Amino acid sequence: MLSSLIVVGGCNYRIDKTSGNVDPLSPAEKAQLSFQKVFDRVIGPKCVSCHNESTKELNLSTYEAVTAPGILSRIDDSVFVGKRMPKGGSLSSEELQILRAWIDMGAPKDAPGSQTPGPSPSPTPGSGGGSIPQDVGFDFVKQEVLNPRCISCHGPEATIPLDTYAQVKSRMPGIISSVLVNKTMPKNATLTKREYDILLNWIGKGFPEKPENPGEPKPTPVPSPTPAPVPLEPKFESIKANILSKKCVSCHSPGGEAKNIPLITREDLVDSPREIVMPGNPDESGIVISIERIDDKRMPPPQVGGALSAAEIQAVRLWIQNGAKD
Amino acid sequence: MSNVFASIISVSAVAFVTANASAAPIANANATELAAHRIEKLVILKKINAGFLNHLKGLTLEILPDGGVAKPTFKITGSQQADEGKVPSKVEIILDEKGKPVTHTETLAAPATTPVAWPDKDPVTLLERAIHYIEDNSTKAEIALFNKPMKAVRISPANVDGKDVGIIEALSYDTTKKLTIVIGLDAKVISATVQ
Repeated sequence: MLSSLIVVGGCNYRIDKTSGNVDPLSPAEKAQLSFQKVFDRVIGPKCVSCHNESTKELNLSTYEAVTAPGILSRIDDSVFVGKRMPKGGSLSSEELQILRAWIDMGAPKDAPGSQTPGPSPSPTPGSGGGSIPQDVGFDFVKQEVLNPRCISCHGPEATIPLDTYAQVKSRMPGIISSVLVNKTMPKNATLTKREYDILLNWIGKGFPEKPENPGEPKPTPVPSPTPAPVPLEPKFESIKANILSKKCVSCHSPGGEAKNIPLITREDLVDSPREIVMPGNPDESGIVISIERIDDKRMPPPQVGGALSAAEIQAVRLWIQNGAKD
Repeated sequence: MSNVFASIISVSAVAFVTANASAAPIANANATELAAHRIEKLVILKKINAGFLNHLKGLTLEILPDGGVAKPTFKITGSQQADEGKVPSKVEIILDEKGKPVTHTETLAAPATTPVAWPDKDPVTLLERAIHYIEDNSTKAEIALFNKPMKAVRISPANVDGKDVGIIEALSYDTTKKLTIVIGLDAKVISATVQ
């Protein structure tokens, strides 16, 4: 009985004293529900990877598509009644409440409480004034989002490159998960709303390589910025750029073979229960043991380049010896 | 008011620790895996007998009540192979609620006269891989019984279809069933059955 009353810390549930059910949204919250908000919170992250214009599945990438005759009742049936969707996943209680409330309100395009119309999910192309173009291809997304936000770590030489269409396409599930859903990427930064919308819209349309309408204005191609080489020195950012990003995180990251030992952030190393880094004590730090051992458990393994150079090992040792603070 | 009530309930629930069930924040299987990793590290650093790496027989987990040294949560006992009827060498690894090591205690006894040799991977590595399998497949109901409420894992050699393998048996506090994982000496899981 006690276990059934456990409330997981960090979640914004409000317990109804009488029924034990999660409270519906407040009137103030409902007044802010526009299609765009529901799309950003629920439909975009949880549905459009399958339900977009380019798949054979039901298209849910625009307001017009979602509110076409019969569609809302199909959503109601598959999500709330049959609980068949999303396939392979689930909606949180908060997401369910948002979607339920919006449908019950008549699926308004704009928030009922707003004085001015909410942002349209389908602005007229070329209308300018901050609206995003709808018919875009990879070049545009690369210029507007990838180059300023991703290429510095995910350039052509990176372990996880996102420089070409083929590379981005092959990593699309991870991009959807880390950028749109969990928002763990970009590291130490967030996409602007415009960047997020551009990426979400492009993915929602099946991430086409080229715009559907070749006559649409295309951006002037901008060459990929080549990340400036980072000198090897006993500092975390240098170790990250020269060693971890290139030789470790392909496995030691969410979704990788060694996902239970992430090596992405300084905290991953310093706070790990495996004592990967023991500040001031390189000899007993797990990472030093791993890179210096001479058996088949030495890291990195041969398939990502094999043993580190003496200079690389020394940089790691010295960083740890100095307290692993930066 | 309902928020205060919910907070009180949540604090009470978190403070309620049963004897050997899954009250700690990390799953028992995770703690056991971290203990296996710790044993390997301690052997490499020559802080405990190398037999705990090369001749490990099994790991048993207990959850300690709060209030001990540095508020420990998990006690994982590793046992070496020993002759029948003899007391084995043991190492007790104490981990906190997040799996971070707190202390370890080694108690040495006479080693097995003819210990099992593991030619490719040491038994600690094989156990770690088997526990990874449990953690990775914990969405399956029958495997989940051995994840959060894991009680023990033990390893022994066998020959299946002419191939030398390791047999890992996982026990749980929440079921009398046993999970048997057959693992190749290359540390690749071959099969897993619950019965």
